[in-house]
Amino acid sequence: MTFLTVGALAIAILILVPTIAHLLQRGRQDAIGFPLVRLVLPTPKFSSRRGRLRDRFLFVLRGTLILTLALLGAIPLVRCDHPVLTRQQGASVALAIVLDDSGSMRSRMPNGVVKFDHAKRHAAQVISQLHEGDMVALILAGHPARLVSGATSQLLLVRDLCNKTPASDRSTDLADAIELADGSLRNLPQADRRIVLFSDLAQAIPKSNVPQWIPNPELADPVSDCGIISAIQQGTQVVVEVACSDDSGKSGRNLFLNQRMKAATKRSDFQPVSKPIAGTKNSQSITFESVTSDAPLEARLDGKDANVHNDSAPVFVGTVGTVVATLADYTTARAATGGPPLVEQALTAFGGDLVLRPWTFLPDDDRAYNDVSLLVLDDPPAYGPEVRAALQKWILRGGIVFAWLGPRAVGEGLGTSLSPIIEGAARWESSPVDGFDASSLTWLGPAGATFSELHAKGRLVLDEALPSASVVRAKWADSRASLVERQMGRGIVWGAGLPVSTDISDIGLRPGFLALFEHIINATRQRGMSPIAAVGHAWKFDHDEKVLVDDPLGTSQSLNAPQDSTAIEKSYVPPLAGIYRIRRNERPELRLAHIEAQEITDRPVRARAIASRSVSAGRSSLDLSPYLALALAIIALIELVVSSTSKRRTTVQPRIWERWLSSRAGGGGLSRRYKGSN
Amino acid sequence: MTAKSRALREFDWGKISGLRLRAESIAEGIYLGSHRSIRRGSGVEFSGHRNYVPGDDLRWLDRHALMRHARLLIREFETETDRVLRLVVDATASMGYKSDSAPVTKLEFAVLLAAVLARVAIAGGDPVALDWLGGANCRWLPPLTGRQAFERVVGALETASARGDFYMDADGIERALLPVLRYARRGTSIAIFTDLAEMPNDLISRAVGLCARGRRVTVVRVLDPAESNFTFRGPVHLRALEGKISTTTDASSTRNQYLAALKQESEEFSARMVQRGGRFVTVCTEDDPAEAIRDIIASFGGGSAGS
Repeated sequence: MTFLTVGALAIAILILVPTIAHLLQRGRQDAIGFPLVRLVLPTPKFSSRRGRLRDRFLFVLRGTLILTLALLGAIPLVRCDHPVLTRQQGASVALAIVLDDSGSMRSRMPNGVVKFDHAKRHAAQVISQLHEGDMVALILAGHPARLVSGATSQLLLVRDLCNKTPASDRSTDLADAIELADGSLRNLPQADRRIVLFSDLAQAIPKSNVPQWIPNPELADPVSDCGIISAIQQGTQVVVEVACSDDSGKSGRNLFLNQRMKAATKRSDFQPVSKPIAGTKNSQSITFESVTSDAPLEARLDGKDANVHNDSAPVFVGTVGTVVATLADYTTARAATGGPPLVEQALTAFGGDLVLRPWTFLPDDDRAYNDVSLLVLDDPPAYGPEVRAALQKWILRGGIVFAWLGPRAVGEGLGTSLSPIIEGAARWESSPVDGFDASSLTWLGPAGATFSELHAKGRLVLDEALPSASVVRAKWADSRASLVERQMGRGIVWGAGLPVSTDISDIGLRPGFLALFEHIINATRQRGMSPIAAVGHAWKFDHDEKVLVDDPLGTSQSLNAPQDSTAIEKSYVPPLAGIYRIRRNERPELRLAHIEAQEITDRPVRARAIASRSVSAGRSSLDLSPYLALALAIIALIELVVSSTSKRRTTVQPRIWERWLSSRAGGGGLSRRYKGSN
Repeated sequence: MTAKSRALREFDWGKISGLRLRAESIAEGIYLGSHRSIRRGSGVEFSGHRNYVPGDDLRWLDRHALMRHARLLIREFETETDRVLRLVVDATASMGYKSDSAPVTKLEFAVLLAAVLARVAIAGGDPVALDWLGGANCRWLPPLTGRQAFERVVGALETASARGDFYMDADGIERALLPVLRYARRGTSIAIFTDLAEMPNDLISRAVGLCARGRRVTVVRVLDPAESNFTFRGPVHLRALEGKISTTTDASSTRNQYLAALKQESEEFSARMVQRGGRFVTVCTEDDPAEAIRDIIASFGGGSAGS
């Protein structure tokens, strides 16, 4: 029990005990029946009830006095509905408002208020409490974290920006947001600097150099939510990803597949189908087989939960994930134990959204590369000019090529080459060294060291065939280039001077082999080539492309050319989940932005505890003590004046009453009571 | 529910189960004189002469007057005949009042007095009628005579209970006394038993109005000891049994004012009644009923009811 609690209890006792004593003393007198009441003269109350207060006004004053005293004593315990900015050092403050605009903030709290609206309102209230000399920055914590406004003294502008911030389906990126906030406050002159965090804390809060204040820990109270991550149709199969924050599926919720509401006017004989969702936490896939419909479909969850925005999603018809095309010789590049080539096996091991597309030859039509994000070649033979042109065009648009080059690279025919992977003549030789120089592969992490012993029987000497602007990313132990990277337009070309075949080396068996692929795949995903991306992840386009984007709400937006004239690409970050209609140079295409399952499944933990550790525990206390103390003094002064006046008056009052009584008794007072007498 | 309100609702008639005998015993001790009738004709006391008309009984022909005045005159005598006694009993809620020191309620005492008075009247051959002011289970009786008349009057008195509120029903008094005014013939004796708790001026005014046409009206004010002496002490909160009047007073300091007001009111009412030939009698429920009856009979005219 804290001192404040004891103090509050003491004050409460001080108030309650006299009140109860007064009420007990005062009592309540029962009325006695008496027929001739009309002949009984009333007497003033002061003579019949000594305990009753003499003056009503004095009573009000004293009551107000006690009430004010009670309020004054309760000030440390009073908490406001809105956050109150306390100035710890009395001087100006610098705040970095971190407003979480992730998808989980679109949930409703138990009181029915949407978390994001609640956070915006309170953030605006905090900004409204700033004065001249204070500075504020606004950072949004939806992925990717964005600095909406750097630290500025234009408070109204920031408040306006805060109020106009729209909700989104982004995932949470608190780490980057806190880092941005930390950086925005770093060089400010204010001694009192704070990061004000309005978030449901779906992620752990990283530490920062400046204190953090979490005014609304109630935002982090867990809510029950089930949402549709994505709904994708491939052929006659519709796969719907559903995620739940808890076991709400046990309540008997079902997933429906029916015609999209906006297209309901279009005639369709599609009959809605449904399946129950499993009553488990985390994500799950539900597949609808034999779905044939010309009309657009949507997946919808019945029932209600905290977030209604993710209870339905349009069915996207198209390829799922990142398409990786491979070209490998099934006779030489396969493992001794059988199965597909090692390259395909390695890519399959990554699973996820990768879609493998094995090729037996390289297409010479650039349209064949349209949906391909990554092309992996294993000891490819040289190709002709048509293939080279299509490949080069695709790479310039953002394609990524990783080529494991082997003995076939030197077998160029007339008009054939491996350009733009390598330029000029490459030479295959017996490897004089056992493996790569481990120090040149530190960027690959510990797995890079496994390339130091490859037992390579041969190698392709790349040094003479390196194109311009190539970067050597790894070297043989004798310092010759073993892995080179070249930026081409928006694309990247990787070349390794060793094939995957186990007949030549052990490289395909080394852990570094998978680590290298992981590195390449991550780079591919970041290129934004896939038509399906998580909300908040950018889709990238050529800088000179004319791109028009229609978001799921129907709002059209034309992407402007990048301000940096040297930039070779421009990007669009989908803020909402749904299907986007994009016209690239008048060529239409559909893309899908889906929410991330973690945004639903990740539940805040120890939110209240985290909030209590922050600089201002929970919501700030309201400090009205100066005003209440002033009011108390004024009321006490008035009470003093009134009570002294009242005492003089009460000494006169009986004489007045006696005169009145005598006038009633002797002046025909009784007769006035007999109304209706003749 | 207080003891007083219970008394209002549950009239304890068992306490006056011996009312009949008691009434008779009280009546036996009272001299009942005859009273003259206004009707002329054969009788025992000479009243005067009138001219003979064919058909008159020749036995009443005054031959002395014929010889002295040479005119046919018929002798007339006043006959001892009955005179109606109308009992009007106030049975409003206030009449159910009984203080802790009182033996009976005011209504019980009024009923007792009315029964005794009826017994006295019936014993003298006078018809007795019964009327009510307010009350519940009240039966109105027309003028009745004989032994059965007393039984019926007592039966009607037994069933009544105190209820009603003239304060809330302004026309109640007029409505209750209208039959009395209409059917009470000249010479009728009217006894009104009331506490004059509510609307006293209205009731007194109506009683004064009944005094016309030779009717003799006596208003018997029945008071409880608490009302006549104001036995309360200290601060009390008093509430009327009729209407919604209540007041808070210090009984010790206002007792004298109350008693003075009560006395002043009684004198005022008495004066108004006497001015029109009526009488005003105040009795208390702790008084001896026989003494009270004597006072009431005396108010009707010199010591005998209806005389």
